[in-house]
Amino acid sequence: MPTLKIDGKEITVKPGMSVLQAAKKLGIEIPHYCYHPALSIAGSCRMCLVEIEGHRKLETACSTMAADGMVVHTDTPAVQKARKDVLEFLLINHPLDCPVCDKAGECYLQDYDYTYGTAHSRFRKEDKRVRPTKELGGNIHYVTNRCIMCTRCVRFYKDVVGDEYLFVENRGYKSEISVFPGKELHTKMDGNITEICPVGALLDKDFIYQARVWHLDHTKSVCPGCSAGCNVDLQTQNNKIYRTRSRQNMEVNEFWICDDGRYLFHKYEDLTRVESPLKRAGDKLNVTSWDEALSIVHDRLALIKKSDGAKFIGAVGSVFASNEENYLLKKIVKDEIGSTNLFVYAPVPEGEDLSFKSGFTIYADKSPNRKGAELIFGKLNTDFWKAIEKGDIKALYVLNADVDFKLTDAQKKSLKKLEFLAVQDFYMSDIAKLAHVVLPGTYFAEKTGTFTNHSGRVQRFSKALQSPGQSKEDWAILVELGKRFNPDWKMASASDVMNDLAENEKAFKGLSYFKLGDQGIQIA
Amino acid sequence: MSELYFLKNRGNPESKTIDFYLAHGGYEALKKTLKSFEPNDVIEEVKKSGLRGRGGAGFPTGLKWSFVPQDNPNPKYLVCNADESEPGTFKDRYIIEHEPHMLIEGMIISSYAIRSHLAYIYIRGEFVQGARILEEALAEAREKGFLGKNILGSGYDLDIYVHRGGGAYICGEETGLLESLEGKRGWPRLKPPFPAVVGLFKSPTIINNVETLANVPLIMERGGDWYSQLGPNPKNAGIKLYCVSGHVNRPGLFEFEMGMNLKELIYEHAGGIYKGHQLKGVIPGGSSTPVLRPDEIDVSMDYDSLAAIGTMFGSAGTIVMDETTCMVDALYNLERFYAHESCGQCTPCREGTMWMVKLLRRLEHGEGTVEDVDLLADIAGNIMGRTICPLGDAAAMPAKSFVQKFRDEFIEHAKQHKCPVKKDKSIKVTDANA
Repeated sequence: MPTLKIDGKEITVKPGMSVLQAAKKLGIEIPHYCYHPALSIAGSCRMCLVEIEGHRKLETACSTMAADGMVVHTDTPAVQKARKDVLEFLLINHPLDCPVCDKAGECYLQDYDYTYGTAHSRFRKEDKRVRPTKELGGNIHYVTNRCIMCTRCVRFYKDVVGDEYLFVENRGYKSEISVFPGKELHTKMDGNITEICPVGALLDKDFIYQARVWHLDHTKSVCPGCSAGCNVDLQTQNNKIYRTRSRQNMEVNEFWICDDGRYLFHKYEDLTRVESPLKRAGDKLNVTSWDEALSIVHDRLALIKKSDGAKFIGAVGSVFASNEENYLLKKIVKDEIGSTNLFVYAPVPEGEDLSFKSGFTIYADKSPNRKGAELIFGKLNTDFWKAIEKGDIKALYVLNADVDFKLTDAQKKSLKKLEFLAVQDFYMSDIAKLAHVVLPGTYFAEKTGTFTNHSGRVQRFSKALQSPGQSKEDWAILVELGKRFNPDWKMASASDVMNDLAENEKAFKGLSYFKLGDQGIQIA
Repeated sequence: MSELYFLKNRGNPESKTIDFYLAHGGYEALKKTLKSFEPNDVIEEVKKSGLRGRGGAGFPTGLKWSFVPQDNPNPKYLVCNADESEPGTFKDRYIIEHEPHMLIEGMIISSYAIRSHLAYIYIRGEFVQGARILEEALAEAREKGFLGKNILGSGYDLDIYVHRGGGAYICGEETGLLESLEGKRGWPRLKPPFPAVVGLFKSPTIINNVETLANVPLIMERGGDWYSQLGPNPKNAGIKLYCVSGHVNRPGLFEFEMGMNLKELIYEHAGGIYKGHQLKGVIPGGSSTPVLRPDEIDVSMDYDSLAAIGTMFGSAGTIVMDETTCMVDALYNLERFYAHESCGQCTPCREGTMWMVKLLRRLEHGEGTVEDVDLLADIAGNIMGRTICPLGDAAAMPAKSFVQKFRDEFIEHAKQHKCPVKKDKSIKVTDANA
């Protein structure tokens, strides 16, 4: 275990750790462009030069391994000058078009130049190298003039994706990033290069010219696109999602998200939302109040329980719903109504998992919470159709959270046999259209909750947007309904629901939002 | 050493054949080595000789060989760097084309010393004829049993392959060469690890220059002690090929002991300055080595003497410039070369070389300012020592030294808004970038 000294502070690190990483552990920032913790070392931007006692020249902190007895200085006049000089070199041909650059505000060329650079240029601007922008395929737009040739994107495909798409074309000052001839970016991982690009060279066409990044609000969330549970950052402005970016979690997605998840939010934008509670009048669904809608649901279920017995009441949870929502549904049906007819909507995964070189995997199971539903409901009973057909169920409460929920004609016919169908849904899905009462819920970006990913990690997602009209967070709807059956229910927040869940469900024992933090906890 | 070694057969077209080589004592050193030397003894003999790398850096050859970790289970490789591209240098080409067996014999002995069973000659892509000659020579050597399995009954196996370069100066940088040899883009690697430990295909690899390897048979034949006596001192020992080009009456390749006096080389052996002109400057060791003024050339051409006066022996590619040479134009020409050949991997070299070219073009065309002169030297200083490979230094050293030693001429360009030098128009230079 080498012990070294950086800026007078001593630290012992694991063998094989670089000076840059050791400094980071000490809280000392060494500026860098080409270095990225998930990629192979290039050592080419020369921004991380530091002084090491006994070395003739400045050394790159990213590629120099920490050694026992090493004495490193990261802020000497020589180091400061080297940083200034590298920034000067990087900026001579840079277009300095920050006012129209999407990266402004989160650009390392900007940030480092403010911190380490000089205000003046010794370069004549008429000498600037000018080259056309390029489309690299998919959503990737390459602004050649802004590129600083750090090659993070090239190494991303090599080291993380495992198939090389990008390369450096030409040589020297003519170097630029290109796609290999005959190839086009379409790997489902492409969006990540727009995140790791330290400057405004690689841009996401989905976001380009949409917003200034400093106006965006950030909300920590979890991607509901598959059972991986990638940590994401929802970036919003004026109650609208502008982009989804990865949020680092070394236990789950490391630094990456797939493009399916990145652009998933668009899928919700096209849905016809249910904005207020609805009640059926013949063929029509009419707007009603929350109070009336919940009363109808409570009264109809209570009536059927009284006339036919509790076992004629069923409920359908979902592998797309949060742990909290499934738990509350179970609590109402099992504890308050006294029925054991708990079903779960859980489509069978199609296709196969898609894994990349780094281990990053896009799961075939497109539901975010199958594991959580299993932990709450036990073995998933998905066959409510048979129970409806046989007349074993007369009233059904359905919690739909799947954006792709579709019914066949036969299923629609089955549902018409029910005496009462209540649907909690955030859009006018096939099943909502058949309901006697529709309770308007929300989708993941509009609510707080937790998912349990494929490996049994419970992770919290938080509300990023206000939901439209009178719609409510689903846990809140279920709490309101629960209170109709049992006025002793005291839960007033998603956090309260989690505490109740943690108290009553063995698998979740001891959990709380506080304990889950930003990175979640492994429970299975 | 009064007799010639490399150039003894100059002008004889037969010199490249194995029959000629054998008839004049060729492969005797190999026979002697395989018969009575253990590999480590060969390394000791070369260490004793004081032989230093002839590619330019001057690293002691025997010492380099001793860095090969013999406990590494991977194969060991010897790679001959025949990517001779430094402007002003044309010594390896002579050996390849006229004395290929000298190189091959040297490679076999050297491979034996480092226990390598596979060696490569990475030859500059433009050396088409050289590659063909080497292929033929290797076939001859194979046929005679100097290559292949069980060489001369010694139990030692070796084969040598010729690999033609892709056509970039940077592939002469040893780690850029290895990348290229592995079929990749010739981007120099970060060091450490050094190639002797992690080289070709992640295996221990020794990379030696053509001339270095071609010296090895002589050392093994006459002994390291004998060789170390040649030249001014044991640290700068042996024989050396000197390339003289530019404004001299008799440009060409010369062979002397190490330590030839630069003034003597120019005025006596190369016939003095062209057309009786005055000497203006000399680049002593290939285009990247700092330039010397006429009052500095009374110097011994060896590694340490030239380093002592702030320049380098390099590849001994001496470029002579007379008074009709514009030093701004000459540097402009050189920097265009380095900007063109910069691989573009690291920032200071990629951006700095082209910036220097732009400044020089302006100065030469009368559009520069006095500030540009200092800026030029400053940029060179900002590249120096900050890059992955020595190409950055190679581009920076001429710029720094030209500005330092011919500052007045640079300033005059800026003040007069034109080039003040009366150039000799009989020598045509095409300006590809103008």
